[in-house]
Amino acid sequence: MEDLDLQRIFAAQLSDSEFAKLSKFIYSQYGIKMPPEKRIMLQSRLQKRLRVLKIYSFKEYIDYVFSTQGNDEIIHMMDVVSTNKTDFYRESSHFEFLGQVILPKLFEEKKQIKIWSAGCSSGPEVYTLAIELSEFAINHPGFDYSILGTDISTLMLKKAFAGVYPEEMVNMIPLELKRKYLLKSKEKTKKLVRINSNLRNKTRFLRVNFMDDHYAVNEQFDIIFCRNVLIYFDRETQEKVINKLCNYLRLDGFFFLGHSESITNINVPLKQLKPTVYCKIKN
Amino acid sequence: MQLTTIIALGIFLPMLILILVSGLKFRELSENAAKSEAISSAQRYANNIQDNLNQVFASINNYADTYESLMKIKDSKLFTIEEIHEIQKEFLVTNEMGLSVYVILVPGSIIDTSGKRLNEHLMLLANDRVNILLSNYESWDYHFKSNVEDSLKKGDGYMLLPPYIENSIGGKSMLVFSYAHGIQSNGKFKGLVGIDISIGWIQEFISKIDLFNKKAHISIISNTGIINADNKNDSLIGKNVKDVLKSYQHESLRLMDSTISDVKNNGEYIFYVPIKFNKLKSSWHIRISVPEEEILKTANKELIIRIIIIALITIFAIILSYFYLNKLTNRISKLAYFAKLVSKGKLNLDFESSGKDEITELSNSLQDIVTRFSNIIKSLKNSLDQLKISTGDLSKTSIRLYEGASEQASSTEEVSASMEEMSANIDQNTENAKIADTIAKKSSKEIEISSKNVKNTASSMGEIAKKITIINDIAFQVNILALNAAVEAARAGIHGRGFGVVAAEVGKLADRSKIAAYEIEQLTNNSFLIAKQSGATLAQIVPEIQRTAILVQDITNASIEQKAGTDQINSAIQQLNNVTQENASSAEQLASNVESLSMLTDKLNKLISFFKIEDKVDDEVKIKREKIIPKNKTIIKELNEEIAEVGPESRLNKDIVKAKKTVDKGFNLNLGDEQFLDDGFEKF
Repeated sequence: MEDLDLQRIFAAQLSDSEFAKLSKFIYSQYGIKMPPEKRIMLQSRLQKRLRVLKIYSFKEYIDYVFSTQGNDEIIHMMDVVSTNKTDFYRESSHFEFLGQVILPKLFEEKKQIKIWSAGCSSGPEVYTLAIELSEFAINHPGFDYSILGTDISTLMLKKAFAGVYPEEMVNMIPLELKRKYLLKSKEKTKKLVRINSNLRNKTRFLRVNFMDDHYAVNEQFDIIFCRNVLIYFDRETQEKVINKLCNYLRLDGFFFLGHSESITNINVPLKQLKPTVYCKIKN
Repeated sequence: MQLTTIIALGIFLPMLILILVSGLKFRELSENAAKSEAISSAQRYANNIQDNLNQVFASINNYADTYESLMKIKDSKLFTIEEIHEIQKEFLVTNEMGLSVYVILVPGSIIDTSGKRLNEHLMLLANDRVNILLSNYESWDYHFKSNVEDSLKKGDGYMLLPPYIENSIGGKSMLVFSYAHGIQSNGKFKGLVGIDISIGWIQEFISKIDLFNKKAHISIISNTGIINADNKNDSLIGKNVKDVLKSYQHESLRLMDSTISDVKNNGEYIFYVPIKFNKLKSSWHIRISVPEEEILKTANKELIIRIIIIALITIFAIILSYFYLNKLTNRISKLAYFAKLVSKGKLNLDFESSGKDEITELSNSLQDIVTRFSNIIKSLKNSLDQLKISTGDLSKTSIRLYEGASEQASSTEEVSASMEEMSANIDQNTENAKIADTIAKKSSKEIEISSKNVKNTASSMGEIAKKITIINDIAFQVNILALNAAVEAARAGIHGRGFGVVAAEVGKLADRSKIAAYEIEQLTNNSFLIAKQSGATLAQIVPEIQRTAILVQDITNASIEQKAGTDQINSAIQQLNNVTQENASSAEQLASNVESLSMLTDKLNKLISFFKIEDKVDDEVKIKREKIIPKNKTIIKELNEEIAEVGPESRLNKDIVKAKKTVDKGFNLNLGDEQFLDDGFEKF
């Protein structure tokens, strides 16, 4: 692409009315709240799409997105609109609690457990869980697990599926565990690592829009991690989503929320075990 | 084409053209020259003839004058024959050309020695060169007198007679012509003096002329058209030109004309040049006819000579210039070769530079250009290499910046969202605290009431305990009454048996009442104590509850403040978020600009690499550069791939498109093909 065209795209501005149109659509279809303060953010993120499509104004882009030909563009739009902050061992207290309290308790009842990482982004949460569960399995023969990761962003899912990360991203993982579960790039300059196939084989990935009426998930999970997802939704949506997620959580199953999230004043079949950790109860 | 050839041709062609043009021009010129030569020759001959004749004619004129003056002096005295002879002899001696001199005098002009008038009639007296009196006292037919007189008058006293055959002189017949001059005295015609001149000398004169290789046909024609002389054909002499020359018709006018003329007729050039005589109106002509080829022969000959001369000069010039040019073109060719090398980008050249001519100057200038250019390219190359390295660094940095900014943007967005969530939670807390506050206040009041109630209860219990003592007394009395009744019943015997049973029962009841009363007392006492204790406890709780209410109030206030603080933080984060998002965008822009810059640098490098300066530093840099480029390219490539992955043409997208149609049911992403094979990875 010519530099001039690039300049044009980088100079493109998302007007208030255009923003309103998009934010309304994104909220109604994906539940992500888009107050006017997010205009700059949306503009910056959508410029990537303008660049790929070689479209020079947001007006054109919006026309395209809402046209029948532009139907597929919605998926790409959501790839860039969704926020994908994630880390290995993020909010590590959850994993400690999981390893020390929940897993031993569950192991008494069953040997095979299923975990859903709802809003898995590029996969670090999934693989952190996989590492922790594999570690648990070493000391608890017969223990087995499977992890499902879902996200709205196909781009992130693709990354999660590949399980390839920049080296600095796995700094949080102790060296010992890295040796066990990670591979490093043969090209030293690349500074990439990959989750080994043993862990990868324990995982599956799906695109799920929390706003859909039904999810393509036909099973009951023992644990659901839905951390730092609800923050992008308003209360009403949060309640709906948690209730829907709880449909896939077995009774007495565990539900993890992000550090800033809570179920206060939300009518959901969950009981708090400790802050941000809940247990499913009967309705 | 070779320079030598060009220059040789450059000399030869103009020369050739010059030769041809000048040859043709020269042919014309030399034709004219030949004509001029003919004319000028004719003029020369004419002059010769006319000079000679004029001289003779002048002397005849003098002779006539002599007679006239003699006639004046003598007045009535008349000439004697002897006198006349003497005069004529003398005259003849001075005029070699004259064959004979004659004098014709009117009758009565001559006397003999005795003074007797000799001539009754016109008298012709003539004598030849050898002093022979040709016509002694010969009398002329007087009828001539008027004719001669007329002729002389017409010719203003001069007369030129056409040639005629003269037999009288020396017994030979020869062609002569005659010039006569009238003698006048007192305005009267007294006679004439004339001279017979042989045409032979003219014939001889023109016979000797070598004009156009004697091919020129020269004729002297008298004013009456009689041919006086002819160098080709003697027999024509004395004949009229109109009878013998075919071209007369065209030439007749020429004879009337006393100007020089030339005509071209029937393959020959004919020139007419007049021969003019002093004091004579009519003139002779010299006619020269020359065959055309004679005229042209000279011209052609001249032309050939010129061509040969020019050809020789050209050949000489070519040979000379060939040697010089060869030397020159060798140097130019060398320069051209060098220039070609330069055009192919070779800049490490040494030009020869000896001599002081323009080529050396050119060579030096070229050397100068190449050296300067080479220096410029060298520094340009170095700069470019530096630029390349810098761009590589910049590229890496900008990509890192871009990635960092994107990461930061995500983080900030997440923090922002978290803050909002927290803010919402604090809101909730505030609400809850407010409710708790209300509840606490209400409880405090209620507990106060309860406390009072408990106090009342305690006092009631005291009352009850007191009342129960009465029951105990009653039971004691009933027991005594029962005992009495039992005693009385025993006394009554059988009839009192029933009563005795009742009494016993009553006694039992009394016992039980006593026990119950005791128990009640115990309980009441206990309750009293408890109530008393509760009262105390409640009295103690009230201030605590009140304190709780105050604390909850504090919490509420704190929450409200926290909410305000969080809101501020939140708006700050939102601002930060906006800046970060823009930074991410800018970083992306920067990365893509750097990519363009990098490509531009590569392009420039490629362009510059056209020039070969060849030095060691260059090679080192080259190696360095090669190391840098692939790294750079990989990074850019990866970045591009990442961007392209989002693009509509990616494979994943097709799966998504398919999947999108069944979105309500959710879908499985077809991620079956592993893009990244483990081959590229190894154990930690």
